[in-house]
Order: sequence, then C-alpha cells, then structure tokens
Amino acid sequence: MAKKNIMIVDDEESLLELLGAILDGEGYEVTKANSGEECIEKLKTEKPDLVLLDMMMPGMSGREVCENIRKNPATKNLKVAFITVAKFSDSGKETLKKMNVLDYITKPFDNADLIKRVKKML
Amino acid sequence: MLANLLQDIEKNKFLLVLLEEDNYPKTMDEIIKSVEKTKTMICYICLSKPYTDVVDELRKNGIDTDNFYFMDVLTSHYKKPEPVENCSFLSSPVDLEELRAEVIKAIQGKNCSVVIFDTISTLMIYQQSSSIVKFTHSLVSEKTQENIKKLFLMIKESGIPSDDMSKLTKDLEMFADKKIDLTESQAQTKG
Repeated sequence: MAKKNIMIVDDEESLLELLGAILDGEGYEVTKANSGEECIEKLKTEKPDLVLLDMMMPGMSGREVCENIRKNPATKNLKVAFITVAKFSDSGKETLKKMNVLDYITKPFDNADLIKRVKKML
Repeated sequence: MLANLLQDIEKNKFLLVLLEEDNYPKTMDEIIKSVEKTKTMICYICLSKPYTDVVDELRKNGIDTDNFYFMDVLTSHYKKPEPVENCSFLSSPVDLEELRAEVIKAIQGKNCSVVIFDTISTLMIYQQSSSIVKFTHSLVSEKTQENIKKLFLMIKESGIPSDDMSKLTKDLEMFADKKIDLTESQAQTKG
C-alpha cells in the first residue's frame, strides 16, 4: 500500500525537523515547506493526503494559506489541520469550521497525541 | 449602536474594535468612559499619538487620568522625554519584546486590569502583520492574562493599505472574543 503523504508547513526549521522525524517514524511520507508561499507552490505539483499548517507565519498566515487552498478547485478538498501555539476564541473556532479545518494541534504537543490525531484525520 | 457597543464590552474580554477616522474620537471616548467608571487601573498604550497628546484629549473630555498608566512608544523617537510617574517611555515601536515586557510589568506591578492598544494597526508601519499577531497572542496566552479583565485592540482605517488591514483583522479575529466593526462600510452592509 502506498505511503500516505503529509505536508508540514512551518517557518520554524526545528519544528519542521521534529514533526518530520515523528511522522517519518510512523511510516508517513513527509513533504516540508517553511512558508505559506512555498506550500502553495508545492501544491501545484504535489497532492498530499493531509496538510499540517502553522497558524502564525511571516508572509502568508496559516489562515490565508487555508483560504487559498479552499479557493483552488485542484486543492479545495484537501485535508487541512492547524498547528498552533494559539488558543482560538469561540469565533475563531467557528472560522476554522467554515474553512473546513479538521483539527488544530497545540504547540508544544505530545508526540503520541499528535500521531493519534493524524491517524484519525487520515 | 452605542448600547450594542457597551453591551459587547460588558460581555467580552478580548475585543477587536474597527474604527475609522470619523468615528474614532467619539467611540474611543465612549469606550474609555465605560471602563473608567469601573475604577480599575487602565494600561493605555499610545501607539499613534504621544503621551502628552493622549492625556490632553482625555482631560479635555473630562476623564480623570488618575487610574491610568500609559506607555508611549513615540516620544523617545524625536526627543528625550521628561520623566512622569504614570508613563513608561519606550525606545521605539519596533521593539515588541520591550513593549510586551512593559505591559506585563504594568499588569503585575501596577494592577492594570484593562489594557487598551490605541491603535494596534499603527504597528503595521513598523511590523509585519504576523509579528503583531504573535505579539498580541503572546499577551493573551501569558499567565498574566488571568489578571486582565478587558483587552481592547483598536484598529483604525488610516494610512495602512486595506489588504494589510484586512489580513491583520482576520488573523486577530481568530483569537478575539468579539470583533466590533464600526466602519462605515460595515454600517452600510447592516443597513
């Protein structure tokens, strides 16, 4: 069976490495992007099974990247989850629902919990 | 509209208030009066005007500034400020870490439980939107946030490209308890 591909998008190199190592260890194929712009560019040629998107990045924010993904017919049905230090407000959670964001994983995260949630989304 | 505004202030803790040049002075006055009468200490962060101008305006509007602690990020830019007891003069609007530390100090040391950023959108002149969102979020995530009763982020449509303003507003809205949009375009939409 083909490996599931997860794209992780974060401006923090150390977090990209950490997440990459955890997911790779679980047998996933990992694509990394260190900005929203790079994510959008990579999505022109790659079709991951899940995008894990940092919320607060310089340049395009996670929210903007997600909006962009939903507007594009080629990517609009992609599974997206946020990785964030943020505690969303109730209205923020409503916005996540409207953007069809499956989950949000709060940094710092517990590895076992992260894997469990990723598996659930896939 | 005023009744709604006061109700929203009463009910919510972290408020994002969108204003425009025309209704900015009046609305600021209403908001300040509504929190001033609770007799709590107010941390007022002067981002768009220097401390002296803000204090003059408040006094002109009959507001007693005894319960205010100010932060001024502008004056030190162009002159050496005269030290005053109820104001910290920060080195510049560029150093958000300095500002964050001072706000936390005011919350802990001066017992400020209301924090007003007038206007957070001014920081867009010096900072990327993402830095402002991170800065704001770090404040509401701090342990000190338990001591904050109200946090006002004022956004004014003035001199900042509308796309940038919209991005900042949408990103801040993810964490704010309530967005109060008092811009004309919104008023027209609502009819």
